[in-house]
Formats: sequence, C-alpha cells, structure tokens
Amino acid sequence: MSKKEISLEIILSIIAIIAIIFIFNQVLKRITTNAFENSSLIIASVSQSYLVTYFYVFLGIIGSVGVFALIFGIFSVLALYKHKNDNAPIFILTLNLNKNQNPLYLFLISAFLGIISTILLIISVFSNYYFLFFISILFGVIAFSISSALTTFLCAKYVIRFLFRYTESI
Amino acid sequence: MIIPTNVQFNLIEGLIIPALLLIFSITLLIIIFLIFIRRFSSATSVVISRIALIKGNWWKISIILISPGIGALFSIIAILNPIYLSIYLYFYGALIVIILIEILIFVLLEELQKPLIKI
Repeated sequence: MSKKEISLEIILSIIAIIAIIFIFNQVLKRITTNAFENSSLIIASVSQSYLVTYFYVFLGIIGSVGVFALIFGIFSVLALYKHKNDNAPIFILTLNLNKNQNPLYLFLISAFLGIISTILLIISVFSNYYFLFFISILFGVIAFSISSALTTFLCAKYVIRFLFRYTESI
Repeated sequence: MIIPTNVQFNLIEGLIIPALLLIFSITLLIIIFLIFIRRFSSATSVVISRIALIKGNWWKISIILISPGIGALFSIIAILNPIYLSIYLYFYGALIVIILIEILIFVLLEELQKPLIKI
C-alpha cells in the first residue's frame, strides 16, 4: 500500500470514530430523556392512516416473496425425496457451488442487514424517532427477500428439474 | 383492523430478550456459515464433501432449502394479527428458523469432517 492510501484510511477512521461517538451520545440522550410512553412503536400503532399503510406494503412484499419461496421449497423437498437413493440433486449442487464466485455469500449480506434491523428496532422503541422503526422494517424486508430469492434461485436452477421426468431425445 | 391503544405490551418478553437472542444467533450463523462455505467450496475437499453429503442427508438439505418458506408462514400468520402480537410472531419465528438452520449446518459440518476410511 502507498502512503497516500494509509493516510486517507487513518483520516477516514478518525472521522468515523468521532461521528460514532457523536451519534451514540445523541442516541443515549434521546433514550434517557424519552420514556417508553413516547416510543415510536406506540406512535406507529396510534397513527394508523400514515404509517400502517407502509407496514402493509412491506408485509405484502414479504408475503408475495415468501409464497414463492414456500412453493419452490416444497418442490425441492419432493425432488430430494424422489432421489433419496440416487442423491443426484445434492451431487449437482455440490458440483455447481464449487466456484470462486459463490452465490452463497449473499446470505451473509442478509444476515448483516438482519443484525442492523434488530439494533435499529431496539433504538426506535426506546426513542421518539418512528422513522427508524420504518427503516428497520425496510432492512428486515430486504434481508428476508434476499435470502428467499437466493433459495428460490438455487431450487429452480439445480434441484427442481429432478422432480420431473425427462425423455432424452436421440 | 382495529388497534386497541390501551394494551400492555410486555417489553422484556416481547422485545429485549428475543432481540438480543436474535443478534447473538445471527452472529453465530455468520461464523458457522463462513466456515461451511470455506469447507464446502474449497478445491481440496471436493471429493470428501461429495461423498459425505451423498450418504443420507437429503432431509437436512431439504429443510435448509425450505427454511425461508417456514419464515414466510410465520409472517403470513403475523399479517392476520394486530401489530402488538405480530412483533412476537416475527421475532420468535425468525429465532426458530435461524436456530434450526444453525443446528443443521453444525451436523453437516460434523459429517464433512469425518475421514474417508469409514465409508
């Protein structure tokens, strides 16, 4: 590494540490000043007309993505049960996932988003910002949709074709 | 949907304990998953992983593949309930699914580390 990159990294890390201390101080002030009666959860549950509509949109996304994941998962379970003596789908999965560019690493992004969303939800319940409640639900929806889309992709590409009989054309 | 405002939401059971458990379990899952990917997709352990996975593990891999569907079932149940109950359902459903995946990946890793002579 060159000297310029190292100095830039040091400056950026110092700025990030100062920003984290500032944000944490502000959050702690908010948490200590506001009791649970002023929390964002109760504001979101009382103001039905504004925020609950977004809540239903997110729930609709979860439902529509999750139904696909459920259907493809049931088909993959049937395919794996059909080839339980042969184990051809597991063989194809192990063959095709032995690459440098592995799609399984996208699960890690969804896991990090899940951690961020839970932390934001705790902060939003103890504070007054109901925008954080909104953002935490958004991150959770994105995490769930990434993981379910990846499993549907894996099932559709490698596993489900063993469920159906194919006739090899001569 | 009618939301009653004077409902006592249990803060400790409903939010703090499951949220901390979720953070702990997701960090564990990240560590386990990194180990699993490194062992599963490295070039040296290709043959061992194939032979170990082919033996009789079809139901473990099928449960891993259907696990987002189980989470979606919990979320669909939670849509039909009001908000103060749906938070319980989301948290505990996600916890159940994540712990199930962790146990299954632990078992698969244990079987991947067995030597070839036993087969």
